[in-house]
Amino acid sequence: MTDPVRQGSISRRALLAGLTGLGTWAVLPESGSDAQPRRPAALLPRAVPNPTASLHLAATDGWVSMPQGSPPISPFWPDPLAPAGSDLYVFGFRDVTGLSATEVTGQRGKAQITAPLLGFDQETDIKIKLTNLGLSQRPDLVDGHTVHWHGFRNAIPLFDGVPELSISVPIGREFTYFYRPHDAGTYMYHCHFEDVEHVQMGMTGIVYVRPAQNSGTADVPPGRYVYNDGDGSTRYDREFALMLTEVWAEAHYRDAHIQTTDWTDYKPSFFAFNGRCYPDTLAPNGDPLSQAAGRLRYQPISSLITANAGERVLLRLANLGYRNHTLTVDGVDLLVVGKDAALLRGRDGSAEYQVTSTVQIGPGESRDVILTAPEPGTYLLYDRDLTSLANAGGGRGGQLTEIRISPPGTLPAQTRANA
Amino acid sequence: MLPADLGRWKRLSAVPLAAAVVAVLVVPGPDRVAASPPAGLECRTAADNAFDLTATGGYAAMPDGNTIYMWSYASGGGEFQLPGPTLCVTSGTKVTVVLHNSLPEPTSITFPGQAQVLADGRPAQPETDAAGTLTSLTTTAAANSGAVTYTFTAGPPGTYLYQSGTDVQKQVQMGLYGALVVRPAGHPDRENDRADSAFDPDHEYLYLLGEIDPDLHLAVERRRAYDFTRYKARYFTINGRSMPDTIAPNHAEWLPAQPYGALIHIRPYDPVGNPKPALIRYLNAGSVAYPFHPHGSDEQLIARDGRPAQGPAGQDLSFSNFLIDVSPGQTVDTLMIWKDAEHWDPQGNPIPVPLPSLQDQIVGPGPETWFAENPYLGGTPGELPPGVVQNNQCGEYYHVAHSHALEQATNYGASFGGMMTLIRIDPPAGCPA
Amino acid sequence: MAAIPFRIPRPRPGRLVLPLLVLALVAVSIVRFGGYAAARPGYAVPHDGQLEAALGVRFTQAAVVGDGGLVELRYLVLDTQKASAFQNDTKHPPRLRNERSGKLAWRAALMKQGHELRPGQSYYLLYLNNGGAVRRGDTIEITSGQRRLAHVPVR
Repeated sequence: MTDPVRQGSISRRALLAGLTGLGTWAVLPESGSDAQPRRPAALLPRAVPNPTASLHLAATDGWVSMPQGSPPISPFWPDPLAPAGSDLYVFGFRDVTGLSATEVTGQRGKAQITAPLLGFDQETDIKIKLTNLGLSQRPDLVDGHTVHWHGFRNAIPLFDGVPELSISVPIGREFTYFYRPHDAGTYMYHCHFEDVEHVQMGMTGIVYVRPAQNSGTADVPPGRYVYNDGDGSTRYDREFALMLTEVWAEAHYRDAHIQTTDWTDYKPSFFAFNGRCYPDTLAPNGDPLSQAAGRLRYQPISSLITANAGERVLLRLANLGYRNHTLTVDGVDLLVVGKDAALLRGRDGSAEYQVTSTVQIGPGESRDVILTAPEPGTYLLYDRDLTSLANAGGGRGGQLTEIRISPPGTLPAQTRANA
Repeated sequence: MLPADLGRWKRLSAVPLAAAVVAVLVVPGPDRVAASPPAGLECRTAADNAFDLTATGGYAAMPDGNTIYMWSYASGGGEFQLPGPTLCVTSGTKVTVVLHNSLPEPTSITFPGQAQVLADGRPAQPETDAAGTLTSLTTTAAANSGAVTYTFTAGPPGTYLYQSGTDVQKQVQMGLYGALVVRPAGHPDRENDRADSAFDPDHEYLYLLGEIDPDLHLAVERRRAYDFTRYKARYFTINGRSMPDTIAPNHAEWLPAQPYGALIHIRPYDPVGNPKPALIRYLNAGSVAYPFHPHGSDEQLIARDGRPAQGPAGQDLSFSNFLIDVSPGQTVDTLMIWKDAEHWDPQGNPIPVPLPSLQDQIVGPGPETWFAENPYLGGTPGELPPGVVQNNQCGEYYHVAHSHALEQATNYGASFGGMMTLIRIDPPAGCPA
Repeated sequence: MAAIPFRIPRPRPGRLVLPLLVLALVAVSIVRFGGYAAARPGYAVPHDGQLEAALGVRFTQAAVVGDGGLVELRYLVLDTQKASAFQNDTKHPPRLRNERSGKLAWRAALMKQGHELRPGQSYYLLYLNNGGAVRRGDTIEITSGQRRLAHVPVR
């Protein structure tokens, strides 16, 4: 076992450590799906020192829109305080990387749900600066905010974002979190300040880590893989992240109207992919800095899945609702290769991939699922819990989206997730 | 009473009273665990694996000040406790559990996962009333003073629930549940017969998860009817306690009926000095799945329901989790470690971001926080506010572990409570007392 | 109304034997079988009406938890507004001083448990127990701003 080390050769040694068993269970032995242990995969040398990435997030409140025409939940939804074009009070994160200080401050009251989709390469030195812009609708509250990278292995409390056990960021202040991920896969991040409230209010997003194997090894060519699988079995062509959440409209209303909520009364009214409910899930990606997306301006992440027939499509699924959900794709087999940012293999390399038609995901869990795009056409991806296929209890909606398959060669290569 | 009678009574009673005092002093007490660790799973063992449980009523304290009437088990001649005592036996041995019933209605115990359970020497059987309606999943002890003796041969090593099999919707919710730990013969330091299930016996933990609807408990206490369609859990518990009581020691005096804590207390993984993982035994005695999220470390799921995660040829089918979703009635066993992955060190390998100055942190109360002045494991305190006496501290870390159905991580809606506990990580050299 | 005659009892040592024996039986029974519930005397935190009126809370328990690493301070909410202000007052944290050794536990977590605290309900703060500053059986002094509450037993 390699000891992870300080100074000088941190990155290189940490990298090797990470891939030869540093996280005893986090990094699983390299092997094929025939359940026979294999020799460890040789890795190509990588940059020393580690690559770096910087990101600036702002936390604040704001207003978003649930599907129009849903049955009203009087008096809670649509919220009468909502500005034109919106109907639901939320808390959320915004990506304000590169904006000037004035521009950052200008995003107060303009939260988005779900939070920006983040992807990093394994062994990157990541700095995420969090600025707390305060709550424009609730100046009476002094809530702090944090970033909790949910599932990050061997975290130290300072960067784990639990305010009770480290620190949170007061209004008008900032704090920089540091992460050096050694384990590929799909994670989540969310605010942990009064988490039952701040998570429900919308401070939830997906963060994923691309494996070092993507740059190629002696066993697999460079490419896009979900994990350091050593055999290419997690290769994919396109990736789509779906953050599953629930919206309890009554609690959102109470937060906007200076009332308190008994959280054990929890009773969600909307069920969302990436902060949107069907049919909004199909609308293209937006940009909170642009008005082009109209009423979905602050719900910028699309859940429409597109691919060419025959391509391997990765679904990064994460649930930050408080209920279990079970997703299915009509007529398409799903290959589950990862759970909770870990390759599904035993410690002896035994294969645990599953072929299934439904994937159940509990609160706080993630799954990495690969499907092979079938014949051109439209396929539905939805929650098998059919009560989650309604908006405010009415109509067709909720956690449902489409997979649109084109003939081979139609779509150009994917340049970023969910596009 | 006439004076003459009183005097005679006195003379007659003094001797037996004195004898009683002596007798009480010499009579052996109820069987106890050999040593009571301040944290960690506390086994109740018995000679010949014969246990005596009394189904009875008592009170559990919730951190918000509420007191809940519960039904659970007292062991031997001991006190009511919630959950029932953790019974530890060895696989393949004969186990006897005598159930005494002091409740006002029949009750029973089912041992899910155990084969061929006998009740008073005959196969334990479901019971029906004269009309053929099912009244109990297994043989009962009659109300008020009945008794029944269950015997079985302890099944495959692992973790099992034992719980009421009678009027289960009510009685299990009332607290009639406990944990049964079956250890592999010859290997008490393994979860099962597999060598890769080895754990550090000093770091074995019980997470017996449950929930409480206080309205139901009040109705039972006052012998009133309760409409189960109105069932709504308000308290969510680990070992019958809610945060912060989950981090109180085993047998904390302010929790007389809830003897089991849920604090995890470990040191960083070290291939030489601390190579063995901790073992956590999850059991769900509630009515919904509890998605349990340990911060700071993943856990390797190695067994469910007393069966190892393995293939037909013995392949290891365990897997890594940052969320353990335990279904009602299910048990899950995990191995966990925490590694000092980056070895941050203020001299040679400092944390590469600026630490906020004291006035830039919200957490206190006050400008202080636990870690911001010193994020290093085992570190000495950094900048201190004026006027504060500097004490040596050992610089241990704390992570939370909690249900991620976040309404369950509350005490009746108040956050940072409920189904939540802490994972304490001491520096490699340990923490001086 | 006739006075009820009564005797002035003469001192008779023998009269005490029976009650003493009964007491002894009760006592040894409690010690022997009573478990944790009955064997301990009552635990009580001193009350200070002025402090309670000022802070809107009543301290009800100081306890060493977390395997000795943490101190839990529990309080009952008497006045919602004042208690919420107390909970949010990051400038004047309660501090715990060990009356035996003078050591302080001062690093607390905010433990924000809702925007508004309910009257009659208990909430808590946790403190890092620096170097075992507070031990079971000690008494501590709780200081919150200018207010002090002395002789709080720790369990």
